[in-house]
Amino acid sequence: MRRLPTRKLRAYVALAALCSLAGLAAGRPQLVALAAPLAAYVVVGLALTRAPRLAVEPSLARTTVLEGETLELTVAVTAAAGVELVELELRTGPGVLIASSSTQWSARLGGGERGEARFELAVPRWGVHPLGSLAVRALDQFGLIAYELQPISLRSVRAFPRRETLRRLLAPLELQATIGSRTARERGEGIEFAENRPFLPGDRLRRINWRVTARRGVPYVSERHPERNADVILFLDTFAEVGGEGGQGTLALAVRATTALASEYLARKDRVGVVAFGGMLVGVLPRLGLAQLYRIIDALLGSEVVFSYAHKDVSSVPRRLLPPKALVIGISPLLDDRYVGALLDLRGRGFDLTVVEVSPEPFVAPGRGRGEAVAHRLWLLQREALRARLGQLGVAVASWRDDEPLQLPIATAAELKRRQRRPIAA
Amino acid sequence: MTASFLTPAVAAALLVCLELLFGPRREASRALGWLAGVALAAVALSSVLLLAATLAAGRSVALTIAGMAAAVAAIGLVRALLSRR
Repeated sequence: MRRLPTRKLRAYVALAALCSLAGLAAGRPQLVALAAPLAAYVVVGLALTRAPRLAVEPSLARTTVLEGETLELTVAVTAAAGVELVELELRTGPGVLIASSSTQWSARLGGGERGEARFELAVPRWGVHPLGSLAVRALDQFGLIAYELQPISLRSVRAFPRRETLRRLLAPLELQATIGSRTARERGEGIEFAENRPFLPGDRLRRINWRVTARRGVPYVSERHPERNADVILFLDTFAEVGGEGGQGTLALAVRATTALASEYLARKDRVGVVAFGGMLVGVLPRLGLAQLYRIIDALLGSEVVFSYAHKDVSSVPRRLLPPKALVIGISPLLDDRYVGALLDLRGRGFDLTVVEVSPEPFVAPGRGRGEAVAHRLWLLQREALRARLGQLGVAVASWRDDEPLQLPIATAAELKRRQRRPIAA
Repeated sequence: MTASFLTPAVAAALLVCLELLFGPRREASRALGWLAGVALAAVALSSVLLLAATLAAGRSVALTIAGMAAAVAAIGLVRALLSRR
C-alpha cells in the first residue's frame, strides 16, 4: 500500500507556511493567527490518520461469453474500519470495452460496511481477453493522505465466436468406414433401401424380402445403404489478415466460419479436425462429439497472425491431421502464396478440397488517385484469376463477405462441386 | 484594529472554503457537522493566538474580546439584514 500526499495537504502546508512567514516578516500576529488553524488541521490530521483495512473482491458473473455480449463485473469492497472515501477505477485491457456509464466508483464505508460496485463490460471480438486491472484508492477522514492499494489484476474472459446457423453443408465425396449419419453409396447393413436382388449363398435369411420372393417365386433379398460418417478438416489460413481493427478482420470472420462449420459437422456425427496453417501451426486431430467442439474453439481462441520467415508447405502438417478421404475445407482470404501453394499441394494429393474465401475486398478501399484505382482493379483481376485457376484444378471456391450469411458460400461451393462432378457432354 | 478583531472569523471562513474546495465530498448531513466543527476549532485557536499576542503586546485583553464580540455581532447583524431583504 502506497501513502501519497493529496493536493489538499500540499495546499494547506503551503498556505500555513506562507501566512506564518508573511506574519513574521510584517510583524503582524493576525496573519499567524490565520495560519494556525491550517497548521493545526494538518498536524492533527496526520497524527490521527490510519491506513484503511480494505478487502476488495472482484467477481465475474461468467468467464465465457459469446463475442459481442456483455458481462457484469461486481467488485465487493469491505472496510474493517471506517473509510471516508473509497475510489475504484477500472482500467480495461485491450479487446474489452466499457458498456456502463463510468469506469469509476466511489463511496464512504463505515466500519465493517460492505459496498458493491458494478461495471458492464463488452467483448466485441472472440479470443482470450485479460479484463485489465482495478485501481483502489482510499482517503482518510481529513483528506490529507491517499492510500493506493496494489492494482488488482482481473482474470481473463474467453469470448467464443458467434454461431452461424447452417442448414446445408458440403457433402464429402468419400465416407469413412465408421458409423455416422450419412448414407453411403455402397451396399451393406443400414436403414436406407438400395435395391432388391436374387438370393445368393451366404446371404442372411433375415434380409430376405418375402413379398418380392412370393411375387417372383425365387428368394430375393433387400440391399441397403449403410450409414457412415466423414472426416472433415477445416484448413484455416493464419498467414495474413486484413482489417483487424474493431475485431472485424478477415481472421475474425475465418474463425467464426470455422467454428460454425465445426459445430454443424460435429452435430451430424462427422469427425472434425482443424489445421490453423500460418506462421505458427496449430492442429486439432479429427474426433467426434461435443468435447471436440470445445477443443476446437479452445485452439481457435488463440489464433493470431504470427509473422514468420520459415518456409511452410503441407509437408510440415503432421499426417494424422490430414487423414485420407477427408473433406478439406480451406478458409482463407487467399492473400498469402504459401497458403495457396498448400491448397494446390493438397489438391495434387487427391484431397476433396473446397475453399471458402473470406473476402478481403470490403476491407481494401480502391484509393482516390487514378493510379491507385487502376492498381485496385488489377488486384481484383489477379484474385479473379487465382479463383479461376483453383476452379480449373477442381477446387470449388466460394467467396464470403461479413454482411452475408455463411450459408451462401457453402451453398455456392456445393453447387460448384456438383457441376464439377457432372461429366462433360461430348 | 477591525482586521484584528475579524481574524478568527476570517480564519474559520478560510478553512471552511478550503474544505469545500478540496474535499473529500461528504453527505449533506455529515458535511454540515464537519464544517461547523472545523470552523469552531479554527475560531477558538485563532482567538487564543490573538489574545496571547494582545497579552504579549501589553494591550487590554478585555478590549480585544469586546472588539471580537462586536465584530462577530456586526457580521451577524449584516447577515440578518441580508436575509430579511
